Amino acid sequence: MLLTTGVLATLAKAMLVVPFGLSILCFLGLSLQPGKTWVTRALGLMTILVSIAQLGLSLVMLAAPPSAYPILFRLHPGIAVDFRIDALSLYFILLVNIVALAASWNTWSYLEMASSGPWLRHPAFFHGSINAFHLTMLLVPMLDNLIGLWIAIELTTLASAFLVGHRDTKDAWEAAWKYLVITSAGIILALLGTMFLAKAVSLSFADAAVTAEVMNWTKVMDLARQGRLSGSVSINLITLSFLFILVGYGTKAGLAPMHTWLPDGHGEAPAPISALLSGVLLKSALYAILRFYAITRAVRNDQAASYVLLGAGLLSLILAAPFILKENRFKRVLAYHSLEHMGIITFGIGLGGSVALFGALLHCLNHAVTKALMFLAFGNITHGYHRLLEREPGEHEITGTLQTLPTTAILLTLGGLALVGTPPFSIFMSELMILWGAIGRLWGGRYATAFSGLPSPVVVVAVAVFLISNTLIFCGLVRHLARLTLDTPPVVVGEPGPWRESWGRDLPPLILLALLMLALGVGVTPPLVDLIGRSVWIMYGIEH
Amino acid sequence: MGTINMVDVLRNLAILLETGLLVTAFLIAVTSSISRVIRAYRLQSLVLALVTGLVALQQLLSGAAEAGFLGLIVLLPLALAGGVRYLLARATAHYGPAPQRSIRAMEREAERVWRNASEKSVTVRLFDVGAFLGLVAFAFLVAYQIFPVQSEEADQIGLMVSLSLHLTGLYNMVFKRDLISQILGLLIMDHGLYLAVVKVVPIPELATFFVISLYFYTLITMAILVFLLPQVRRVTGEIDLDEIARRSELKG
Repeated sequence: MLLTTGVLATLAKAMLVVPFGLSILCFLGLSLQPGKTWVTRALGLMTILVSIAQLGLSLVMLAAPPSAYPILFRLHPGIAVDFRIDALSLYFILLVNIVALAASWNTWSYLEMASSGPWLRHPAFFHGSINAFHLTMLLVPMLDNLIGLWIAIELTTLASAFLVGHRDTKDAWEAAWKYLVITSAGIILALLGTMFLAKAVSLSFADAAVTAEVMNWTKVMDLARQGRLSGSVSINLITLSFLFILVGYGTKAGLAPMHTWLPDGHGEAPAPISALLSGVLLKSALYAILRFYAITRAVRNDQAASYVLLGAGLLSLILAAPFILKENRFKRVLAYHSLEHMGIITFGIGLGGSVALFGALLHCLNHAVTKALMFLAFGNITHGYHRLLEREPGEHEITGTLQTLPTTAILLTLGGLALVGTPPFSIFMSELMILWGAIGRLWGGRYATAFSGLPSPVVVVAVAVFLISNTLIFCGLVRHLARLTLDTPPVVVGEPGPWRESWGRDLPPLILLALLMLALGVGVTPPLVDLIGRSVWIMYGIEH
Repeated sequence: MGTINMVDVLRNLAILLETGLLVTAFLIAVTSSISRVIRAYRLQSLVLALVTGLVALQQLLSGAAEAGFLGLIVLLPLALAGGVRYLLARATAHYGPAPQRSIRAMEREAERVWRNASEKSVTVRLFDVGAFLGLVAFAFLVAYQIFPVQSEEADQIGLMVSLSLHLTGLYNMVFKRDLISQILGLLIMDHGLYLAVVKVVPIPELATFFVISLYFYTLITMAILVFLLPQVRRVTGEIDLDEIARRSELKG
């Protein structure tokens, strides 16, 4: 067998080292003259190639037998930070790499349109930051050490904040300010939550020496399973820890009511960054919540944490609906959709039961793919209209895209239909699974009730809110999409010009995402089913 | 007559100083002038540095070799106490077309802007006092409910003060209506975090990790103070959050 644990560990290390090296190389490019030189173009091409290689590596890891997992390793024997890749981590690594590939390809389109200048406006800065951002988002699912996990999430903020403000406009800086300040406040609370967990764990080592490994997720779960964290003080501390973690990482995951940075951050960032923020960053923070949720469940052995997640999910759903219905900038509407879908995922996790949890995890990937498609397609439209309207005085709305940029508009429409849960697209599939989990719970289905202990009235109310919000949101997005695609274009479109969509530059990432969106809707491949299935057991503390 | 135990003396002194942190938090909460708030914040940083130093010394005397790492935290509040006024003045004043001014001139310009932005009615100040007392009472409840009776008193006070700092910082961020007070709220939350590392979770074996985390976190604080705050001030020309919101196109 070629894919042994050792080989997989080497692949994982390569996955971290390569974007790190490329990021440094790009930042060195800052010393060069700004502008669209061959060097900055080469850096862009290298970013795309590395993203392809990263996705390839994660697919190779997916092909490895389950017995090869978990992969435990250190970057260097002397650095006491442990890494761990299990099914849940691999699933999120895959998700990061899919969206990162599409986003890095789309930087080509964005940077062709954006003006360049020194430092922040330098293409090398953009490439360096996007590689650093990619690296930090890969670190999150790979780290076993929970303090290390916090550092990785904190670094995602640092790597992305200046990308949010990259357009260097008043709105972009305001958005970057909100993003950095709000998520920083959240991240402080997340560290405090991590500290409470550390305190709880240290109490279980009354006489024995505490080592750095005690903050590894693997070790904490072992302690929980052995019942060594079941003292009343430890339980209280871990509950408090989970609450702080939920508020802290929940801020970053865009859960209501801490979501206020989301519409500004997603709305003002360049398209590839919006795709990464919405598609991946929110999921990275959710991943951290999942790890702490698993610990809290294992220690408390009750539904308290599930109730909290269910409540947070429903609140996000309810708050998203009115903002999607009202008149708004399209990217802000998409951002509120992120709030809605993070609500759906949290709702599914809180609902519990293996089917709903499976659906919630699948929804993470489905939402990441679909939302990335939407942001990138709308980004291409914005870039196209920017070129088209350069010589047209006055303010113009983006309408009639079906006439101006037909392929992109069709892909955007397909993405929009998928986003509101229309069959046969992927989101329909995962939303249906979550609902199936809920209804199965009410009817006493075998799989749905395996782990869920929520009383029926709670589930009935939750399902009702879920369905009503989704119906309203469906109407809201369809209205926005109709105006964007079907209305008359702001100018008479004559001969093809440089604003037209390019099959080499603009469309490949969109087509890749659209195909994936459709494929995941038609049927989930067995390796992916197996991966998500094993992730569910990991979250229930049954499998390593 | 028993001998004086140095470790106990240090512990009690640290507890005494922690109450000083609460007093400075109160001053920050109720003062309307931004300059005075910055002064109170710097005082809080110095008191925190002392608390951190005392705890590190106390652990060193108790034989914990890793206490040296805890001592490194002292540098963070000290650096903030030293640099915060300059950084905030720079962000406030250095946005126009003539940045070649002396530090003194820059601070005078910043003072002028801060004076204009810091008018508060009696009602608002009373509300701030009430909110501060409410938040401290909440922190007290949390701290004394989750820790067992047999736990050390120092743990409970440390947790209460740390939570109070977090909550008052958060309150400042949400309810104060200018950029400077908002960022000071975040910095006060930082103080709560530093205190939590040294007093609430004093696990020497994990000190290295937490100290590294705090240093990483400080990178964000620096990014905000050095780069982002001046940029926001430059593009909006304001520090008044209501005015920025009124002119903003980021609505809905």
